[in-house]
Amino acid sequence: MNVLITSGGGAKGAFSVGALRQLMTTTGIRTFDLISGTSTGALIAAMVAADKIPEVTDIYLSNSNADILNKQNAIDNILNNKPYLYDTTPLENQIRQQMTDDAWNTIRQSTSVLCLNAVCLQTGRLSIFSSRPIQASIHYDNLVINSSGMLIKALQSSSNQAVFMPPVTINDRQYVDGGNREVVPTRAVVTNLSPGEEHRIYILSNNPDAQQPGNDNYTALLDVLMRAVTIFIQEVRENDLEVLRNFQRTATGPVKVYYISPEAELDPDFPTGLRFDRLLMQAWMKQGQLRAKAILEQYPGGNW
Amino acid sequence: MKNTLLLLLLCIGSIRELTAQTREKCCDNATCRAKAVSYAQTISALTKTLGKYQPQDSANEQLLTRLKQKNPQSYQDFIRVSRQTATFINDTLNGTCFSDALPDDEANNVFQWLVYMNRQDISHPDFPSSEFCGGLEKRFELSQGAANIFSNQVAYLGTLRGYLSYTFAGAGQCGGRLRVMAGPAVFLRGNTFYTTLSTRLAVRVTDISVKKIPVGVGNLNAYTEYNTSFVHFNQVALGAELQLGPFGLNLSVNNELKSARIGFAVGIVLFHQPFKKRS
Repeated sequence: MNVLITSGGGAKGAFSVGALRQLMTTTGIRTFDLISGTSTGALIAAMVAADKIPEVTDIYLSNSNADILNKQNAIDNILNNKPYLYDTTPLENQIRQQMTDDAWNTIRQSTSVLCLNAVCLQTGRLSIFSSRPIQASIHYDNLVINSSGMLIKALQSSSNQAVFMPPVTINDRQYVDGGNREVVPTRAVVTNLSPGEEHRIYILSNNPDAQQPGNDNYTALLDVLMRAVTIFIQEVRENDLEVLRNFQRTATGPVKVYYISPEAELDPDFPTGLRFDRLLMQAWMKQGQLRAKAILEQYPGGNW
Repeated sequence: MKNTLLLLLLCIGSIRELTAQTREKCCDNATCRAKAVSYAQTISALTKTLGKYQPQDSANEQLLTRLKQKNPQSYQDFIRVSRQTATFINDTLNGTCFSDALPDDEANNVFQWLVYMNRQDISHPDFPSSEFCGGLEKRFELSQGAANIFSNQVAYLGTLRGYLSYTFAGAGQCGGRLRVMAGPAVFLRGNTFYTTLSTRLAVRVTDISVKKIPVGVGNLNAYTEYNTSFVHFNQVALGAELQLGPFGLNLSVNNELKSARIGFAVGIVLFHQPFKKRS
């Protein structure tokens, strides 16, 4: 099976899009059997499943912050008991524009299984919204998407970073960014792959493999917060990869893993990925493309 | 008349042409694409001459200084083209024709230098303002100060105001610049009460926000106001206000028109909020 895993990272998703385009050019793969995405990776995953590669390229090259979020007055939000800092109406509009009934029909009729990760605030569990029923697991709850409306809400859930963006209510439960539990969404993949078959797993991650060293001294509150976010993301990411590592170890069939990630943190100043700058996104997309090209050419049997 | 009609038709034609141009992607337009390719070729040739971007700023400064000494023309070209290219990418480019035209072995170096040379412009995420949201709002404000401060007849000045406020901004949008307010106010000068109509015009000067995680906190606005009892009391004022969510603090200098008494007032906005909660 050909599997695509796309990680979270906000604007840094441009790196994944660049890598994805190169991956499709080099391997000739047009559709993946299983596509698993978290956060910005969920948006990319849905666009791949809907066969919208040119559109997703445009989005990650031309978006600005205003196309994603409306800043809100924090004091107003606290006083009015709003559990978030940004209004995500512009992002929702973009998702609605892309995930039409036609797009949902394409996803539903394709041979790919699309899995979008979110976390339920009530249960605290990983919740996987999928285009078809997937195998049950003690590690996640599975919710099957049944309409374009639910697909849109699933995408919003997966991409809405808790605290920054509003939780999304689906069937009386609130969901936030899957990155709280899985930055690199491997759980659905390892549970749904047969261990005896041959698999090629392409992981597009926007975070570097190793933890980047920090500053000599942190004195500002927000700098400490940003550093803590980076360390948290790294910890979650390492756990996710460990899940895949265990599968690779125990599988009886060959499991080739192509792990495409940047060599250094793409945006050390804004690890949350909330900087949609066109120049930076052009740079990251090219970086993703070149990194994918190098890895796929150098390691035809996988690099991980 | 004929000429006017012709001019009007030409204008409509130009607007249509402009709209069509904005819809077309740069990389799909031959002229724009050629420009992107030209920028890519020029900047990549210059970064090759300049050298490999370094993680330390001091090392990059050294590379720039060395280029300036060895080849002043290339240095000037690099400064100019790196700015022009970034502006072009930001304002015009959509598509990958610029990055596709970069040589693979130089592409990352080009982008690193471009980001380095333009980092002032991209240092903080630029989000739309969270302030001066459009529509009708209500406000209640108290202030205290002094009247006639440049004489030996200084008097206490206290006011209580209720305003109906309207901010000019797109429907459901924030980031407006202009706000008009009007409402009843009671002024106490010395021992005399005046019931007045107070009108105010406020202009948003700047926003106050946290840069690292772009969160709006408030705004600084300047205003002018006119208060009148229609008979005895006519006052104009100029002031500045720090608005923090529904609260605010302001300071104004006022002048009573008939007597030319000059005074000041420090105000506290107890609430400034929409009639219906925004979703």
